[in-house]
Amino acid sequence: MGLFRTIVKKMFLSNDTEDVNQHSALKLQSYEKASYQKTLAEIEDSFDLVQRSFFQEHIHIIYFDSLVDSQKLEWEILAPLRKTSVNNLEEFFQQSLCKPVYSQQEIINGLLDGYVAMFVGQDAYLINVSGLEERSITESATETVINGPHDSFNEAIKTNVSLIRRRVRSSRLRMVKLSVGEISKTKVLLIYIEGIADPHSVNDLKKRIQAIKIDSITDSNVLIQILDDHPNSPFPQFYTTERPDVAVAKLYDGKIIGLVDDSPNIFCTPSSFFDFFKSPDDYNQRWILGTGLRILRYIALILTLVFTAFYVSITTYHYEMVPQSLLQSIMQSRSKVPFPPLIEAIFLELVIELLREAGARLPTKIGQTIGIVGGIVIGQAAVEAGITSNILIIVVAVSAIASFVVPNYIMSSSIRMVRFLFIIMAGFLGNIGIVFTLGLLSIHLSGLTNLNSPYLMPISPTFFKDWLDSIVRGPFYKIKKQPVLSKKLQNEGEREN
Amino acid sequence: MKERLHSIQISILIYMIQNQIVLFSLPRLTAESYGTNGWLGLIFIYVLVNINIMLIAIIYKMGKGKSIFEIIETMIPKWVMLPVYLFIIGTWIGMASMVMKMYILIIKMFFFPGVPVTLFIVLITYLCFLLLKGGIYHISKASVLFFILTIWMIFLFIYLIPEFDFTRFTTFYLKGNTDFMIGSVHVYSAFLGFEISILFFHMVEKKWTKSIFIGNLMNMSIYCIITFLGYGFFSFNQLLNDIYPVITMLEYIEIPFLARVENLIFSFLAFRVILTIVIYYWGAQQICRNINSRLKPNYWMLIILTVGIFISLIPETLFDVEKWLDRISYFAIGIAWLLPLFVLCILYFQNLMNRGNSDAN
Repeated sequence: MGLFRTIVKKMFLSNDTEDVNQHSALKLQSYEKASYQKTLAEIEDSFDLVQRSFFQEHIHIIYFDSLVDSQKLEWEILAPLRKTSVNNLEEFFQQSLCKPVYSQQEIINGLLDGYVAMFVGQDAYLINVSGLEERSITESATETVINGPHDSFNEAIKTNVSLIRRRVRSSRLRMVKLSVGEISKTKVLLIYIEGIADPHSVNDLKKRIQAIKIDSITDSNVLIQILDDHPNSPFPQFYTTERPDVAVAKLYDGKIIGLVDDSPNIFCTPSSFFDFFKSPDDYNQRWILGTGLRILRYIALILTLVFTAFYVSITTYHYEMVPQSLLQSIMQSRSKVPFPPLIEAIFLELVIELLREAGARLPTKIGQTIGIVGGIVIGQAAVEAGITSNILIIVVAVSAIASFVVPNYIMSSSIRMVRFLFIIMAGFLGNIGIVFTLGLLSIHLSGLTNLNSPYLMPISPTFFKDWLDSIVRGPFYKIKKQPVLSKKLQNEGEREN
Repeated sequence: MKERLHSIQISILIYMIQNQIVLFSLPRLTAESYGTNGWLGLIFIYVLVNINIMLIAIIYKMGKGKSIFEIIETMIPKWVMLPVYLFIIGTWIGMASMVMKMYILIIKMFFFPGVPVTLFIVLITYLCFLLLKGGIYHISKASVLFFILTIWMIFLFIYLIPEFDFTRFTTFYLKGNTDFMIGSVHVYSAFLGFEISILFFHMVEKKWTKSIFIGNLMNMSIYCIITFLGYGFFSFNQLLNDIYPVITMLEYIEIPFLARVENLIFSFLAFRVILTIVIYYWGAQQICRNINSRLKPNYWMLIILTVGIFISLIPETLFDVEKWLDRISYFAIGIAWLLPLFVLCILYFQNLMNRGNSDAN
């Protein structure tokens, strides 16, 4: 038995990283010893719990039927146990993938991960036969591309890691395994490329995740809100994606990516505001087209924010700004509307938001119908009933379409929400109201950070060299491999070490 | 990473903090001060401003990056300097308040006659509060965004080129009923704001001083373009009789879907005005912190903003504000020249004493 323990220990220790060593060392210092009775008592009322005994109750095994692969269980444990005898157990252990476990907590965690717990006298072991059901790799529904790879992450962390590994065939790819949630014990995996990512940022992120005190997290989008430097900001600070190609591109940029078990979204840090305006399609076509698309998205950003507000401002306070040729049609269009432009605009913007939300929640086919009902029927009827003007419908529609040009859904939603503040301020103070809100927004954005890195990088602080792969999509021969700030941080880190 | 002000950020910050509220009357001011083709006078003022900046650069080099308070207080006790500090604080808060009030009164006079002044004061002060709360790094980061939000406006002046005529420049140079000295002070006040960079020393990356020159050059280019356009757009007498000739020029701009863009442009100028105000408040806050470092910076900030609001409420008419601004500008120009000269003298004596000590050893 002693020989077996040594072999398994060696196997176990040589497989993992420094983190695991530290982790195990800590556990060995203070643990509640694992035992069959305690384990049974702790999980007794589970309907999928299976307990079996062998060799006249000399060996007990416990597992959750719903978490194990029954074929693996048969091959790895049941069949070999049937073939062997109680005096010949060492042979069984040498053949199987079991690892000795000392603490009760480890046994429970293992069982919940789909392992089989085996108790032989006073000793306890975990054998990996997990076989969780998982969704197959499909195309991302929220981040579609015309050219380029079409696979996306799913909810299984192991599958997601394999999607990254097959793209980064480097021994410098590092993974730090963490766990979040007192009850949920959700696995979080931080991945980075050593030598490119800033070690300070890796440590900082690790500490932040370890410091989280929460019962459970259900998705990476929940985790990043806990990790945010500025949790009260309406803007997303961690970039999230479902696409492995994007995740890998971020790794090569010197960023850290985080995988959360049971979540198809990975998060990436440090992120900047401009990351949310990039699409993989930008890289898969000629750089001139890519640059054009990026500029189009920034125009869309401005349109979303201020177009409706500008309409409200002009029709409320600044009619002198409308050229004569346009004035007549605006006046004609507004002549039947009994409400001030502010009320009219807010009403229509709310209708658009209702339509969007209804379309998102309903099944696709009904969602399309809602679009038609909303867009054509309500729009036309509202104009005929004299509730809104034709021009405003055009303005609101352009503004809504522009908001959907932003590739990231969360960013697009944030911008749409901020737009209401612009409209209200334009209704009260006209152009100066818009400018005031723009000032407020600029001050807010420039104060944001993500993992202590400025949110408006590389515009502010200004690193012109990085503009080629953020503001525009420059030609590949001009794009630097690693962003200036990341390189700077890394150099500083190396110097300090 | 310890945050530092990058050179590009400093250039943009200096460009943005210079007192552009004067820009709208700059063609008239140069015409009154220097006469026909008075835009040439800007070059003279630009040279003076550069000399002033050079003094700051020399202090940075001689003081080896030490803050001016460190330099001053090694020779002169803080309590002796207190009246000087209080005078500078008063001047800078006054300058910020008057720039704010002037902007508000102009916008009220032209575009929002019905909106109460206090509402504008509260709004602008709130933005200043947000910026001051984040410190100079936040201010500098916001200045870059503000720069992007305002720089596009210069291209609107292209629409004025068809109206531009060289014959309006006349063949005479610097002729007319001019007031060179007082006029120069007025024009110089359009460049003010850069003097606060004397407080940046320990917050910047190395080799930053050329950034101040670049920022000033950017500002000068804008002033030159607009003033030059003004001389080709108006006749000399028209320039003398229009209080804000640049606003009048903007009224003539018409693009396919927008006309009378002057109120839009004037509104966007708020970004520059806010930065000018903030940087003066920030300068005052730094001196306050040096006087009493035990009081938290946020308390100083609140005190300064409150004082600023009260001062801005005193003068009621645009005429009064202009008079106040003129006087405070004299003091501010005095500080811009005398403070660096004073610090240079101290550095000179310190060097002499150090040399004496090393000789004695």
